[in-house]
Formats: sequence, structure tokens, C-alpha cells
Amino acid sequence: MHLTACLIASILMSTEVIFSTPKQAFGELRPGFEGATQGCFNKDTYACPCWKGSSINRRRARSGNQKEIFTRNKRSRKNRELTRRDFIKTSAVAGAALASGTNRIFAAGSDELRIGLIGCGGRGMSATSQTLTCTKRGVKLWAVGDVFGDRVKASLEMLHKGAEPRYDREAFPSLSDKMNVPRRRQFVGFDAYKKVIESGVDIVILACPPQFRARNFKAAVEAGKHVFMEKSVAADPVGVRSVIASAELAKRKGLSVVAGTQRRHQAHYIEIMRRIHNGEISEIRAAQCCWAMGLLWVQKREPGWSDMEWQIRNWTLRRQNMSSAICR
Amino acid sequence: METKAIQEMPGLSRRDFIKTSAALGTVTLASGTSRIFAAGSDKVRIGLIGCGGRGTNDATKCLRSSENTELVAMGDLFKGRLDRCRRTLKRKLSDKVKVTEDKCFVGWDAHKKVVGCDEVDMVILTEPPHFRPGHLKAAVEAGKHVFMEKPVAVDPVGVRSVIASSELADRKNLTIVAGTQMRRISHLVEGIKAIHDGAIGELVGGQCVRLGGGMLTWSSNTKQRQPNWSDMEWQLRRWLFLTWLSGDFIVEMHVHNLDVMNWAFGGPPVQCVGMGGREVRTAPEYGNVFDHFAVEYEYPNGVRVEYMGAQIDGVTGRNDQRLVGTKGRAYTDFGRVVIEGRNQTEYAWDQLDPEIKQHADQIAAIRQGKRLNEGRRIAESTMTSIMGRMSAYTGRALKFDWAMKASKLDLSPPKYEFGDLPMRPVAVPGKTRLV
Repeated sequence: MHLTACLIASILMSTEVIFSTPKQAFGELRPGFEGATQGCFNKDTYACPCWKGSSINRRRARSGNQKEIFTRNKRSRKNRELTRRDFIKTSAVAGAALASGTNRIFAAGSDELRIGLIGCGGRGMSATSQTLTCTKRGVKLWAVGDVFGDRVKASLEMLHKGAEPRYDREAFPSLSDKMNVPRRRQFVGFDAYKKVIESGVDIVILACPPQFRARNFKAAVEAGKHVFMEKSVAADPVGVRSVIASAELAKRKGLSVVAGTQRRHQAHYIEIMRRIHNGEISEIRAAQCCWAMGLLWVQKREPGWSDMEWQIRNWTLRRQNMSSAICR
Repeated sequence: METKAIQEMPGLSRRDFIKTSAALGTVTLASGTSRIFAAGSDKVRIGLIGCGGRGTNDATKCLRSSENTELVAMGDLFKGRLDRCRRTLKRKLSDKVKVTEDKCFVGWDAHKKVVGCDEVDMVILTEPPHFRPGHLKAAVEAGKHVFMEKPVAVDPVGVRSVIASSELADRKNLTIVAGTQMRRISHLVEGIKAIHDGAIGELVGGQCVRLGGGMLTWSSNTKQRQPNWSDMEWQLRRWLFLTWLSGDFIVEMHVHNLDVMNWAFGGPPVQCVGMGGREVRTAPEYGNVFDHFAVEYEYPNGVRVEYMGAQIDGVTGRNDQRLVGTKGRAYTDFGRVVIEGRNQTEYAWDQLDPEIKQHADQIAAIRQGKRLNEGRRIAESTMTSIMGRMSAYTGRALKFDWAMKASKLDLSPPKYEFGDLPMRPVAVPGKTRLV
């Protein structure tokens, strides 16, 4: 949430992307902190800390020694909704607005930003709902595109209706008043991303399977659009090189680019990293990182689906789409 | 290489023995069942149980390690293996191989007959690991000194039996040496001692990586199942690839690497969580073992060590350990130890064959009546490997203490006879139960 707010703030001020470090009291890190950075956070349960605060960990947090982390999470939610005043304050600190060349120049915080969503799956919907709710006004969903028509339909329905919380998404209300997506700006097919980019949007949200990111990103930057793109941004080295080239072009054009690595924007991660970089655990000598979980989801193949359709609909399991879980 | 070892650790004469004992102030205790060397002959007479490649190798090295040693009895389940081993040993060491026809025992109870020979002082146990706990128990109860190959069990029930036998051996003043020759490689001994003395400060992490080939050509003449082979015979002849017999390769082979980690940390880990699978070695002749594992071990004080192991052809080869301390790092493959940081040093390979040294040490200890018992140590290292396998097979994190005290896992077949024995299915993480 903070992440999309940052993006919008930076676009409104035509500055490079910046984000503020929330200053809320962090308190003393508990004695296990040295251990925490080596990954042995919770010695009793052997559980790794989940700073994201998913439902399972919240439950554990209330009874165990992750309580502190939980309360920090709660505190940091105050920051969820940044007001325009916050934007201006934050951005002003960061410096003068840059001339962008190709993109629209925004009068400080007054214009409406048009959002284009490319990739109407679960993640695209989450990112869009977060983008639309992170500020009170000034953003509007303008166009959507996906390779499948049913996903376009389902995602718009849900954004109109609102949604219950899910493991990877908070609840959101009906967002109809922040949407202006007539049928002519609902695009379906392999070239839907081009049509979204050409539809008069200011920002595109790139949430297709990772394999498509590089070319979607390239097209968006060449057309002078600001980009929020989900991680991971490629499934192979050729894709990575393309993303780096597009990022350099975006820089030259004064476009903002934010990647969906939300931990970089989470208050306690930022604070812990600050302390680590300040040398509180001395030189880093060892580190571990673990993510073990169940199978995400499987789409049963339906008659009439081509190989390509089946593979894209099952993209988490396809190597060419995302290489493997390690990227996710 | 071997002669050097012999020069350094010669067979001691009786006079040496008396001198040494007096100097050390050691007193030879009455053991009840084992022979007292001061009173009798200097000669150490050996029985070999398990006449495969490793048995042939260990018997050779043992006989070469010390003077006045003789091989006097042999046992194996299969006559063919025994005969071949006996021929090879005779050819190599004709003056030391004194095994008469009536001291060659074949069958399921061959080990009992070898340990039942009065003239045997010490046995070498080199059958597949599944049999080790039972054979060790029989040997110790019969009052024999034991050299046993690693690993020493395939399941927690076996590990507990080894520890019990090892304690009995202590009470009987019997020596036990385990085939963890890494513990006798001089540069490792020096390097690990330096680490214990604080050369890299307090240990805060480590890695242990062993990636090698798929062993696909191992025992290639048994790849094709013969029509007259029962399930049991087929599995025994392909024992390396059956978990109940070998313990899987994390136990059978990589116990060496994990033992070095336990050595550096001064004991076994507290808990672990592992993952693994069988991606390449999937044909039926490769039984039900995995071909890759990744296990994170946690040692006391929250220090984590990552182990990664594979037996897959065509992967990048690795066989090394790395320890991270507050004042530096130590890297070791089996050729050297390099300490980096404030106390930079390199301990290099000294050419002494550690496999010779382990036998020489044991025979010297037997003659001097010195205590030498590696039973518990190798049992704990074996358990370290077993718990990693159990975690990877089930996908569940588990504690060393739980495995040691509470796990009921016992991979023994219902009966030991040639007949039907359906192969246990390949483990499936998340589905295979943690027992």
C-alpha cells in the first residue's frame, strides 16, 4: 500500500521515486535480534518470522514473542493512507521536480492519474485495489487488459463489488467511483498490453506472469508511462537484460518505476535494515533465508484449451513463465 | 604412504607395551571376556564380517597398519562375495591371511559364527549399514574389539542399539573405532583444533556441500535382476539404493561431511528441517533412495549450518565444508584446511593415509589396554544424517532429542530370509509420516 502511494506521490511531483522512512517509535530490538538476522528468530517454535503479518502469524504473534512485531505492524498501518499533504511534504524533502520529456507534467498534486491494469489475475487485482485506495482521490482506473476475456470480466466485477480479505490481500470496498473503464477500454488478447498503454493512461500496473514483464515494461517505458510492476520481472537472463535497458530508458525519460517488493517499504524491515547497516550486529557473516509452503494452485485443463492457454493459466507451474518458485 | 604410516605407528613389542603402560600409568583391567594382551601373545587376530569392496579394503589396511596382525575368520551372506574377497586378500597379504576353510562362514548367522571364534580378538564390520547395530551387539557381547564402518545405523532404533552396545563395550574394556577417517587426517585434526582454540572466533554459521555423480554404474552386474533372485536377494545386492539397507546417501556417504560439522561444533545439532527428492535416478534398479537433499541444521546457540547433497551425474562437483566465525572463516575440502581472517593459515595434505592410521591407533590401543571408543560419537553423527533424511522424506522439521529418544522408526524387514519383500515406496515430503 505504502508502495503504490510512493509511486503516485512521485508522479504527482514528477520527481524520482522516493519513500519516507516512517519515524514511529521502534523501541529496543529484543535480545534475540542478533539471532533474528541469522534466521533463528523464534527458537521455541522453529518458526521463521513472517513480518508480513499473515493471519497465521498474527495468531502466533498474540501468544508468542512475535507480539512486538505484530504491534509494530499495527502501528505502521496508520501510514497506510497517505494524504496529499504527506506527498507534498515527502516529495519536497526529496528535491526539485525533474522535467520528464515524454510524460505528462503534473501540476503539484491537482491532476487525476489514469491507471491502466495489464494482467487481471489475483495479483493485478490486489495491486489495483491498493493503488485506488491508497489515496482518497486523484486516481482512476482507466483501462484494463488481459490475454483472457474471462479474467478481464471477473476482475472488473470484483473491483466494482469489493472483496473480502485473502491471504495476500486486505479487504477493499466497492471502487466503482474510482473506475472509468467502458467496454472500449477493456482489452483482450496477446496485444492487450499495447492497447492499454495506448489508451491514454498515465501509469500502468504490470501484473502478468513474469515471462511477459520484460516486453510489457519495454512497451510502457517507450510510450512514456510510469510503471508499477510486480516482482519477479523476468524468467530468464535475456528478460533481465531487457528490464535493465528499459529501466535506464525510464530514468532518461524521467519516468518512475516501482517494483512490487513490498518489504522494502515495510516499516520494521526498513528499521531493521537501517540498524544492520549501522553495524548493530557488526559485519554480516552468515545469513539464511527460507520459504517453505504448500502448492499455490492448479488449473485443471479444460477441453478446448490449447497448450498455450493451459500453460498460461497454470503459469506458476510453467518454467518458461516464471522459471521456478525461487523467483516468486 | 602406507609404509610411512607403519613406521609412525609400528606394532608394539611386548617390551614396548610394558614400557608404555608403565609410562602412561595405565592399568590393564580384567575385561571378563576379552583377551588380555600383556599376558598372552602380541598377535591381534581379526575376523572380517562383510566381504564386499569396503570389507576387502578395510581388512587390507588393517593388516598393513600394524605388525603381528592376522586375519583368521571371515563371514558374509553370500559365498561368492566371501570367496572373491578371500582370494584377493590372500594374493595381497598371503603371510597375514590365515583363514582356513572351517573359519569361512556364510549365511544370515555368519556374523555370530565369526564372533563365536575364540581365536578372534577383533572384528571388522563392513556389511550394509542396516546390519551394523545387530552385528555390533553380537561382537561386543562376545567380548570382541570392533572396527566398524560408518554409518552405523539406518534408523533411530538402530542408533539407540549402537549407543547401548558402545556403553557395554566401555564396561568390558573393549575398543570401538568407526571408519570416519576424516577424524585422522592430520590437516583436519590441526585445522579443527585451531578452530576449537578460537582461530576464527565463535562459530556463527556454516555450510557443507557435497555434490557428486549418480553412482549409476555401482555394482553394474546386479543392475539386471536375475530370475532366481528373490525380492530380498535383489534388494541386498542393490543395497546402496534401498533406504532400509543403506540409510540413503545422506547417511551412507555424506555422514562423513556431517561428522566433520559435528566435530567442529563439538556435538550434534539441536534440530533440522530438510527437503529432497528423486529427480534423475528414478529407474527401478535405483530402489527408493533420493538423489538430492538440502537440510538446514541448527546447532546450539542458534547457529545454522546448511547442508546440500546430491548424487546426480553432470552437476558441478563439490565436496567441502565452510565454517563462519566472528573472527574469520575456515574452509575445508578433504585436501586442506584454510583459515581466513585474523589468523590466516593453511593446513595442507600430509600424504598419510588416514585409513591406515585409524587401524593402527586401534591395534595400539588394544595392545596397550587403552580406552578407545568412538561408538557414541559415530552414533550421533549417524543420527545427524538420519534426522536430515527423516526431515527431507517427510517435509517436517524435527529435533535431535526427539529422534534420539522418541522416534519409533525401525526399517527392519519382518524377517531375515530370502523371499518376498515388497519395496517400500519412495518417500513423498508432506505425505510420508514422521514416525
